[in-house]
Amino acid sequence: MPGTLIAVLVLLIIGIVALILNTNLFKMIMALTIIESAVLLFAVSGAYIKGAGAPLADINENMVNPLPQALTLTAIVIGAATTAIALSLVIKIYKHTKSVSSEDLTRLKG
Amino acid sequence: MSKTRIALLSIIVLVVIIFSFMLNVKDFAYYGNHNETSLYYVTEGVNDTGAVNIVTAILFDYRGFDTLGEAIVLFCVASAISMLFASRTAPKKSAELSILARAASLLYSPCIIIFGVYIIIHGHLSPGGGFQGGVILASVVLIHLVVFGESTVVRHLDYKKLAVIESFSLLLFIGIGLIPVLTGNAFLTNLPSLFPRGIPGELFSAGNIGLLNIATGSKVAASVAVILLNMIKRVEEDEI
Repeated sequence: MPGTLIAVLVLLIIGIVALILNTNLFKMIMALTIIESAVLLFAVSGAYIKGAGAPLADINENMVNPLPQALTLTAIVIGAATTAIALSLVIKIYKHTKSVSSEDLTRLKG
Repeated sequence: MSKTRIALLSIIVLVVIIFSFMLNVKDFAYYGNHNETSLYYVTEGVNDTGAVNIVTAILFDYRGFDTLGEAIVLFCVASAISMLFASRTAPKKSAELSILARAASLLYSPCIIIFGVYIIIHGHLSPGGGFQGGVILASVVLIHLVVFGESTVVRHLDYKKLAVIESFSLLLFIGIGLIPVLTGNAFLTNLPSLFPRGIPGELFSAGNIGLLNIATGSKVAASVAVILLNMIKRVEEDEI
């Protein structure tokens, strides 16, 4: 297994374990971000071609697959946007319940 | 079964599934090889778009519509966060850092702005583009929020102007996309329509990719600044 795949595996497991075991909402968002970076690393590492360089046509004759890099850029922007929304919702939740623990979110209120 | 046991069990199951998936990932077709699509992008990308940076060529030419959707997502997020924090106001007084930090941030800010603009307008030549450069530009706002305090920044930076910049950049993107429609081409067509091709590798080349980068850059910078300004607002006591 190449090194990047091991890194992907480690990041993915760290993220999932943190997501399941934590009740702090901030830590859960951080865990989601770690999982996201693992997926992005997997996409980019899958596009790597041995001996090829960055997809810049004036420098490299031999280029890696550029499509996953473009899609990864899209995913990073969307990930940042969802993280911003999640964080502001956590701020709102703290305002209502005075706590950032998901255990305190049991009360349904109109 | 207790909660921790369920958690541990599900973690073990997940680890086994992911591990077995990872062991077989090298058997995927095209793993570590070009497929037809990527081979086309790599060989014909410069011819088709005039952009030397193939990633930007894909983002703003082949998948320009996708990038428009991405910009709209950012717009929606900025609107949603503004709506969530609509009842809040910036504090009247806020702490600021020492004279050293203030002087240094004033010294560095022009350099950061120049770097961000450079990243934006060289998007079709070197790594970078509208999204990256826009975030670098917005980092100036973040530095000033930390160093000078929220109240000073809010007094000098007009929130409504930022919102206007954001909306007009998105309209600019759509307008650039609509220019080829006038000549009978599809939305966001690049080279065969009105835009000059230029010599690939020079600053003024690649048709509308540079213009789209500028529109995206100002859009992202304004969006991220709006998000930051909204999230930095203090929690007021009387807010429901």
